[in-house]
Formats: sequence, C-alpha cells, structure tokens
Amino acid sequence: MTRKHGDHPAKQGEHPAHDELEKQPTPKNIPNAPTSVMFFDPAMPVVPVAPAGYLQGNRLRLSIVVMVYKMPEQAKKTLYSLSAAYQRGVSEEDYEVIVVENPSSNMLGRVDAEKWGNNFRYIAYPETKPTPVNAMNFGATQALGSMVAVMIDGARMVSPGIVNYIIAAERLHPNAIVAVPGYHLGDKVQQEAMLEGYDEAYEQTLLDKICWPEDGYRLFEISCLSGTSHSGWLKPLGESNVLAMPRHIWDKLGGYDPGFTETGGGQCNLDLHKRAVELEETVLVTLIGEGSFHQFHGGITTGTKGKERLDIMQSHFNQYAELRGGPYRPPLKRAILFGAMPDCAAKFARHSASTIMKNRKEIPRDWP
Amino acid sequence: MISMKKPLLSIIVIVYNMPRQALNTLFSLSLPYQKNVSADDYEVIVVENRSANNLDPGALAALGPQFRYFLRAETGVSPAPAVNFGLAQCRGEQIGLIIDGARMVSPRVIEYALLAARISQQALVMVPGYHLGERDQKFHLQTGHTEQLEIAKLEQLGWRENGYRLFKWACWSSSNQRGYLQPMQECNALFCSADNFRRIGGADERFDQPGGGSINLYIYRRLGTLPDIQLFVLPGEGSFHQFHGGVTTQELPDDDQRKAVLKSFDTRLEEIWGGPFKALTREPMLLGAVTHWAQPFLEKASEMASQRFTRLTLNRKPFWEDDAAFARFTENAVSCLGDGYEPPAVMQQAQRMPE
Repeated sequence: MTRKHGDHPAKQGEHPAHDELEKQPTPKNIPNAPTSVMFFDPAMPVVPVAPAGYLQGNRLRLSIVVMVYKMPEQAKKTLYSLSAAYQRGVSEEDYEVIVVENPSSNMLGRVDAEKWGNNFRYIAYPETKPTPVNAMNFGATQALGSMVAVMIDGARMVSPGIVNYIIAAERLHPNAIVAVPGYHLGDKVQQEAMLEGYDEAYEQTLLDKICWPEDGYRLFEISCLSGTSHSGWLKPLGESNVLAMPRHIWDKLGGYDPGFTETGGGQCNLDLHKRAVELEETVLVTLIGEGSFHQFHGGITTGTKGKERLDIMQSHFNQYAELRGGPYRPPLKRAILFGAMPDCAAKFARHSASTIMKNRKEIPRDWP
Repeated sequence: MISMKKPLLSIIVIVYNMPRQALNTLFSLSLPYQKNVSADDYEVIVVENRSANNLDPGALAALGPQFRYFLRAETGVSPAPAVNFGLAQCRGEQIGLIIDGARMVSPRVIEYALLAARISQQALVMVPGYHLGERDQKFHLQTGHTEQLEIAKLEQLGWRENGYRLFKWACWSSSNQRGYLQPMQECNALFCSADNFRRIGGADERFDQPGGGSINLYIYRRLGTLPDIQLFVLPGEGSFHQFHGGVTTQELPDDDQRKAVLKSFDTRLEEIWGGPFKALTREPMLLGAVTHWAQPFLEKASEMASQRFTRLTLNRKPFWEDDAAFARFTENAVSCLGDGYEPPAVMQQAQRMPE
C-alpha cells in the first residue's frame, strides 16, 4: 500500500464545496439553483425492522412506468432495454412496463410501445399541459406490481440488471427505495457536448462502437456521469431516473406533486426522490453497477442552449423554491450500495471514491 | 442465560491461546458495537481449545446473553474439530465462521450478513480481510509491529466507539492484497446457510496441521464453488487481524522456515482439494454502505479491478471463470476487436433488438 489512510487533516477555512460547484454543468449564480451536498449525513441510518412475511403472495413484483413525449426513436431503445430479451435473470412474468405518452407532433404509438413483450402496456394520456406529472401519476394507478418504478424521461435507456436488482432490493427491506445513478451517453454531459456538435447521428456511432444492444453493460464505456450524479454515487444523489419504491410508499407520497406544472415537470423528479428518501421508514438502496443512460433528444434541460436553457432552468428552480420554500438540496440519507461491478463501470467506482477522498477534509465530524 | 428464541444467525469464533485479542474480537460482535441488530437476532458460539491462556468466562458473560462459551480439551493442533464442535452447537439457520479468534470485525457485518441472506438463501457473504498496521503482519519484524504498539494504537483509535476507525490503521491481508473486486484466496469472516455448511461436510479434519494449515482457503472455495451459490462481498466492512504470533502471520527470523511451513500447508491443501488450488473466481455482488474510512480501499480496489479487466480482455480470458453463468463482458469486448475471434455459442445467441 502506498497510500496512507487518514492523511487528509481537516483544514479550517477552506471551502471545497466552491470548487465543486464550479464544475457543475448547472450555470452558476442562478437564484434557487440546487445546492450541492458533499457527503452523506454522518449518522448511518437505523434500518427499521422488517415485518415477517411481507413478500408472501404471488403478486407481480414490479411495474415500471415510463414517460414518452416526442422522442419515439429514443423511446424504442429505452423500451427494448426494459424488455425481458435484454434484462438478465428475469422473464416477462416477473414485471410489467407501462408506457405513458402525452400527445405531441411525433408520437410513439401503441404498436411501437407494446411490441417488446407481453408485459408491455400502452396508455395515451390526454394531457393538455406541458408536464408529465399527471400522466405518470395516472400510469402508476394502473400498476399491478408490489414495487413501482418510475422513469420520467423515456430517453433514458438502462443497463441489463435493473429489473433483477429492483426485485432483489424488495427482499432487502419492505420500504426499500431503489435509486440508480444517472449517466449521459458521450464523454461529457449532453448540454455541453451539443455545443461541440454532439447529435443523434454521433450518438448512434457510439452505440455501434459497443455493438449495442449485445451487452448493455458496455454503455458504461461510452458514457459519463450526468449532472445530478456528477461526483459519483458515494455522495447523496440528487435524483434517480429509475426510481423504484413499494406501492404503499408511492401511495403515501401521492406520487409526483401535480404542483410541478413546468415543462417536463421541472424538478418534480428530484422532489419525489427527496420526499421518498427522507421518509423515516425508508431505506435507500443504490444500484452501483447499473445505470440509466440519457440519449440525446433535444430534451428540455439537456437539448436547449444559451439563454433559452437558462430561462427554463430558472423557472424550474423558482417553482421548486416556491413549492418547498427554498432551493433543492439532495436528501442526506446514506445509501446501502448493492450490485455487482461490471468491468466498464469500475472506473466510476474509482471516480466516486476519489472525489470523496479529495473532499475528505470537509467531513465535519467523526461518526459511528 | 441463553435466549429461548431461536436466533437467525450463529457465529462460531475459534479461540486458542490469545485471550486479549479474542476478547476484542468478541467485543466487536457484541451490542451496541454491532448496529441495527438485536441480541435475539444472533448468537456467538465461542469455542476455545484449552491452553495455558484461556478466556475469562466472566468477561465473556458481560458481553451479553447471546454469547455461549465452550472450553474444550483438544489434543491436536488444528481448529477443525473445534469448528465441527461449534457447528453442532449452532441454532441459527445461518452460520458465520471466524476461524481465527484474533480477527475483529466492523460494525455492520451482522446486519449485512442477515440482509444478504434475505436476498438469497444461497448467499455466501465474504467480509474482506485486513491486517492492523501499515503492512501485512508477516513483516512485523521489519515494520516494528508489536503487540504493545497495537494495544496503544487501538486505544488511540477509540475503535470501541466506532469500529470503522480500524480502517484508518489497516492494510489488505496479503492473501487478498489486490482488493475485493478480484478473485480472493480466503475469507476470515464468512457467512452462509447451515445447509450449505452441511453440504460441504463442515470442516475437513484432514487439515490437522498447526492452525489448520490452509483449511480456511479450502472452506471458502468449497462453499464458493457450490453451483448455486451467490457471492456477496461487503465493501464497507472488514475483518481486522490483530497480532498474536499466529502460524503464518508472524515473521520468523529465518524466512525459509516460514516458507517451509507454508509449503507444507499448500501440499496438504492440494492433496485434499484433489489438484492445483486457486482463488475463488466468482463475480462478487457488493452490499452495504461504504463509510469514508473504507473509501480509500474502494478506490484502490476499483483501480486494480480495472487493470485486471483490461488485462484479461486483451488476453481473451474470462473475468470470473468459476461463474458458470458468466460469459458476458469479456466475450463481447473481445468480439468487438474484430480479429476473427469466435465468441462461444452462448454469445452467438445474443438477442438482437427487433427492427
């Protein structure tokens, strides 16, 4: 061992949090912008005792609700990545996928939404506003599974162990909230990459390079951490684009807050993540060897430029602050990490650990 | 008083001639040091082979009602019969085995072992092994690692209040020195079902050498190669070896002497295994939070894992060859090199996205 452990004494008066914010793709100095949290709550969560027998019964274990809006080509890849042909260790009987689509000029439609397996269902939701919140909440009411997983951005394809691990996580605890770190395809986040010419055609060459969908784990080879997870998964995650929770927790939270009326739901997904994780009875499980991978599609915060993007983000932040009384701050509950580490994801494990170590001097106190 | 409720987990700790270290180990298995578990969840079966230096039963009783102490007369020099004796005492459906009583553990080992057992009845939980000190204790003469130094250092760390501080003064055990994202030789704190312990026939008493020789490696690999086993590794937890002049964990003035001892252990191991012995090569599933104390080890383990994955990909070798089901990452990566390499049949059936 060449590294000496514990040789990062705390230096008074330094603010590494500032450096961290510098690197964030979120533009600086926007009022109500989410604040970064550098480390987990020093206190480890007390895991509430699990009642016996909560897994009994033959109920369908998992329903995945996916939102699609004006991105049929990306959605097809996402839905394929959720199919039993791509997901490992599970069959169509183990879970269902509910595809919810809001009306647009470029629809996916029932045929292309349901062709991925007998466990796929399509709902065309008659929404008139620009938010996915109502459609997602309606989709969840149709869910039959004991766990509900929501994917509010249908442009996010997933790695091949997601379904299997969410079902396994339910065995860990009856109140398990399952989060999956988010990635962007490409070597930098797409809101930056697009300024250098990143587009759908280039993305396809990346996917061809890894022979997608032969081995979905190779998505890690051509991706980078997305903005809300950019410092890795040993810090509190800002959101999860595959967020799974038991049905009773979903019901208790009332799903997404319909107060988020902004385009794309604004910060509704961050808000749901935070509210779920912060419930006292829940246990946060992060799937470290899995990921959701954002495809470029001219999305609301990932495909707009310059002032337009700033204005949109500003109104998202403002709406969050208005609804919750201040800017967003990730939930501090420490996660139980879970999952095997694919070869091409090991670099992100290293990145996650070294980011924390760099900031170690900031850890405020010793904790048991 | 032994609790009447049947515990979920029985942990066997074998002790011989190291009362101070063993008491630290047993303390690390007591409450409230162990988090998120109750005394009803587990029992600790302490089996001590009698020596001139035995545990103080009074000190042990003070640790809690979940500790059960058995002092045996053992004529041999191996812990194998003591392990089998311990197995016969276990009431839990899950078994933990700490064959070297000098290995103290971190605070969520029991919690996570129980969680893993809930995920899979075939869980084999591996707690990565560390040595206290800057370097493996087999170099203790060179590093000046002594019992007195260790006592002082442990005191200074305040490990009883927070066992994760042990990571601050620890290094990888040399049998697992490339970290836990690699094949690992041995496991010094392992957990699996009592059924699986029965399937391998408990501890093989042919390991009758001092300290059992390589029995620990053998048990780990036997359990790990049961076909349906699911290997879990706890990246944020550890078992920490205290210096006690153990059979292979101390430096002898004559290094040839230590090498000769190890050689005899290897020979016996290969005899009993029935061929060349190698580390268990199954893909580990990680489970548990990683505290900041343990994060440097995660960083190092993932760095070394990336190097290994790259090397194996270039050499067209599988990553986890003991995993019968494992034929994915390497094969795909290799098939993309475009040099005429034929992937095995399992990959040729890989699903294509329907048009």
